[in-house]
Amino acid sequence: MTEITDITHPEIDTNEMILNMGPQHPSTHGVLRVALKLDGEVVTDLDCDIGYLHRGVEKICEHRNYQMIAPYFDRTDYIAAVSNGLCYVETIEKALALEIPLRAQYLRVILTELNRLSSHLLWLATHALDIGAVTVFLWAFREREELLKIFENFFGARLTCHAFRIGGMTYDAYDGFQAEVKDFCDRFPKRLEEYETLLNTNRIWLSRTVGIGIISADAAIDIGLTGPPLRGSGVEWDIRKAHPYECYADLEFDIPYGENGDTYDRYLVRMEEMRQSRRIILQALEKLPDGPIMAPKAPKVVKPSIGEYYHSIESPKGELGIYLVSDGSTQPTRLRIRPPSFINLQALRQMSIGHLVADVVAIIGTLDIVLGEIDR
Amino acid sequence: MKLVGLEAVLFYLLAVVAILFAIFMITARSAVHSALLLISTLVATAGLYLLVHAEFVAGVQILIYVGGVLVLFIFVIMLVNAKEEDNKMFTRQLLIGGALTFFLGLGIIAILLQTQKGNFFTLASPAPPKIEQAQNNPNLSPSHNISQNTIKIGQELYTKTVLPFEIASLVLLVAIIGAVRLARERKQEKIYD
Amino acid sequence: MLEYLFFFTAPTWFSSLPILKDYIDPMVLDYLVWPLVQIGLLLFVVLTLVAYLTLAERKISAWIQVRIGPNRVGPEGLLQPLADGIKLLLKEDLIPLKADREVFIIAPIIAMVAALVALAVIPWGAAWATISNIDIGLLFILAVSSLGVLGIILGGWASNSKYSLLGALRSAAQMVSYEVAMGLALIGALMFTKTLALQDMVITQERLHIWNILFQPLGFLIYLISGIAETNRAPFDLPEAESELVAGYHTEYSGFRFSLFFIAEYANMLIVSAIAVTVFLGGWYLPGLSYLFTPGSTFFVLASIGVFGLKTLALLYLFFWIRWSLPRYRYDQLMELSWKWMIPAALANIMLTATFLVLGQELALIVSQNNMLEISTLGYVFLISTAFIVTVPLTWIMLGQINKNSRDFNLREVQPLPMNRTINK
Repeated sequence: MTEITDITHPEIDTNEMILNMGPQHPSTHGVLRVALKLDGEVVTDLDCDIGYLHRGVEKICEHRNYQMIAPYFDRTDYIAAVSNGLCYVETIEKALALEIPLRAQYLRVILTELNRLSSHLLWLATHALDIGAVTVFLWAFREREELLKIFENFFGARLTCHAFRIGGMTYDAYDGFQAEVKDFCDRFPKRLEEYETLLNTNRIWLSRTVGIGIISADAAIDIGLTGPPLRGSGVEWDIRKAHPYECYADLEFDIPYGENGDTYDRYLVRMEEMRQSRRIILQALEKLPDGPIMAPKAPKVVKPSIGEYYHSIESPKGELGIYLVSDGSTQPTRLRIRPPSFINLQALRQMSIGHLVADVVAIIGTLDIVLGEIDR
Repeated sequence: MKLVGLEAVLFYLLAVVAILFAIFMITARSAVHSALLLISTLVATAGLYLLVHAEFVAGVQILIYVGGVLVLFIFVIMLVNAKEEDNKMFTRQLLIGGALTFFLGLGIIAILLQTQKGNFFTLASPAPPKIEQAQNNPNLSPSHNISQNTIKIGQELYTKTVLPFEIASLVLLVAIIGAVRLARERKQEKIYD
Repeated sequence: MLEYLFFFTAPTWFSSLPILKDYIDPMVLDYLVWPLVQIGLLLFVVLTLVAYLTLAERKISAWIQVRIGPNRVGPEGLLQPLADGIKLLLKEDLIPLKADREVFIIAPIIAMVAALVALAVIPWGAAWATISNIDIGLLFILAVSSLGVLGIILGGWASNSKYSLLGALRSAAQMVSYEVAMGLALIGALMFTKTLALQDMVITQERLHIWNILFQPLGFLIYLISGIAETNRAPFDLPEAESELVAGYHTEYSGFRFSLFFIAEYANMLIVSAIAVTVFLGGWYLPGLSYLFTPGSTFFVLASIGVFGLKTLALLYLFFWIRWSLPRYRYDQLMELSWKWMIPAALANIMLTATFLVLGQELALIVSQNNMLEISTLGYVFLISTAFIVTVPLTWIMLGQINKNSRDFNLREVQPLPMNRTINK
């Protein structure tokens, strides 16, 4: 906080101007406040002020039992609620050393990858909107709408989807789920091509993204970037490959990675990830076995043994991890979330300095942050 | 040509507006207000040019002075964010300035009286050419019949006064290059070269 | 004085209206009543058109974006502009406390007046459809539209808000830069029409039986791009880039004052398209129109108004289309586009066009007589082919070479991303 007050109350300086972007600003993706120090329109310094959406999720978790905690995770990264739920239940399953049935695993993978698609589509929509391509925004929302309809049928909710239970799934796939997902996957590549014809070789899009917000592979690793921002810099790191969870080891997919670490490469990485997600979904649909969806040994009262547990998954935004300290009771002693957005946001300052105000908007977009997750 | 009818009304209206706004401009406290009033003065002057059938000059007056120079004035005023000045009327400078202006004005009026031979309210301008009705022939290029003003200026500019014209453009070119040289930073040069 | 402004006297059907003929002096009728009728009619049509342009924009953007668009107010949403207008009129008149009151009030008025005054000289059709055909028509429009910038700058400054100020600064720089390119782009066409009066330009194109765009493809392109930039439309809508500057110069404006800015923007669009049509697309001239109707007759004039309107609307559609397909330029890239591409290209266009005109005269393909061009059939072929085959590619290649080291347009080739094929556990 001290730095921020320094920035907003500088000594009188005629050359520099302080601009507060947010918290009520259309392109800070929620309630992020960025204090920009400008020389003309060039950013000379920048500071993020977060916490406008702080709800104390981690503290609340200390006073709920393990089943009651689960829905809170749908509300951290509300764009990727399924991924968050998955991360939580897997952490507890790890602590309980539970083996979950294969059908539940495959269903979980399908739903998480669908969620990755919807999250990436929302990213594409808002990122394009920030750069001024309004039409892409609404086109991407058209596809996201179809996904949300599937979610609505499956979870009974569109945004805060919740069907994963410790030990498996609450309910099985509804009738026609496979057909609907398959239908969507068949139509999806054509839609992706549509976006790419609008953006990929568009001169304005290129000049707005190529060479903007460059971060080297070393710097990205130093900051702790994960997910597409890390892969955009050329690091092949994907937890689905490195430490496979669920049934990812049985599925074939590639990790796309960039070369230059600029906004355009991160864009390409995410676009390719959508294709790979579709590939995963189609494979998983084909392999989807019959069988139970809840582990028979799943306990009614969850009491992980005393100890510390850490589990992480590849959420659409990067590495989502949960660190759990259990004292053997029905409530966690400490539950700490490692949100990918929070750590990815740390790169904003390094990426933005020397660029223009307009680029800051593009860079915030390319980092794909969700404030619910950053502030928790 | 004696100023009569509508033209007289327009002339006095524009002249009074120009002078009044010029006075307001000097006394305005905010720099942006001054610029705005200067714009009004310039527009009124452009109207006066129209009265003497110098349409081209009037157009150029607005295009260059109002659209170009004054916009840049305001641009600069906004960039340096000039504060309002204290309203100290009647300083010694103002007194001297006022006196000077008064005598200058007297001189101009004297010269006008001398040159216009006492015929104070006339303007030396040719009588407007008669309009030939193009009503029956819509294919006729009509405005040529009204005024050859623009064509004349073009011909004068590129024949009789071609040397001063070229010199002026050369001076402007030098000014542009100088401005670019001054404004470019070392950092930028490194990027671009 | 009035005789200068209103050249085309009232048409016979108007002056022979029984009420007017009996009670009003024909001189007054021609120079006062008829222009006032014209002005009133024009203002009514243009303001209605502007209102419906907003609806058209919303509908077209909806089609492009797979939406339905406004469809609640009236049949198919046709009364939407009316509802919007009423809403804006009834809103609270808000002036920020720290704003500069006088300038804040006067700024939208300047923008609006500048936009509407320019309408006066546009040749909406043949003969009496024009309000006035002044000698400096094109210059007049350029001059008046340069006044419109003042409204935006002053509005941004007077709001006393940082977003507004930044928006105003941007628009000042942008509009001054693109005005230069716009003016230069028109000069090429002026060489063929040899006049600044807009009606005369159309008449010249009619006489030569050609649209200037064939002689001036490059000039038209530059004019169109500059025109979009001049009206602050996407991809050049930086002064009001909502993702960066909230709403730019009109952030603090609401209600009726905001709607004045809004109307000014759409009226400016209309003017830019109308000039493009007049100068490059033959205005109201359509080949074969004079065979269908007797030139000068009332039907001819009405048809010419229709032709002009259709051409203008087509260009306006292009404006909408471009807006909803392209992302937004960045501020410095926009400047670069103007100073490094548009202005040099316009200058090259002037040089090359003049060269070919002189060459054509030397080869006796073109004769310049009495301030009018006479072009032989071979001359048409010569001028059109040089414009398309020489001027456009040559300028393109030259500028590409000059701007090779330019930072932002030096884009790398797009290559597919590398992917790992081995699973690393």
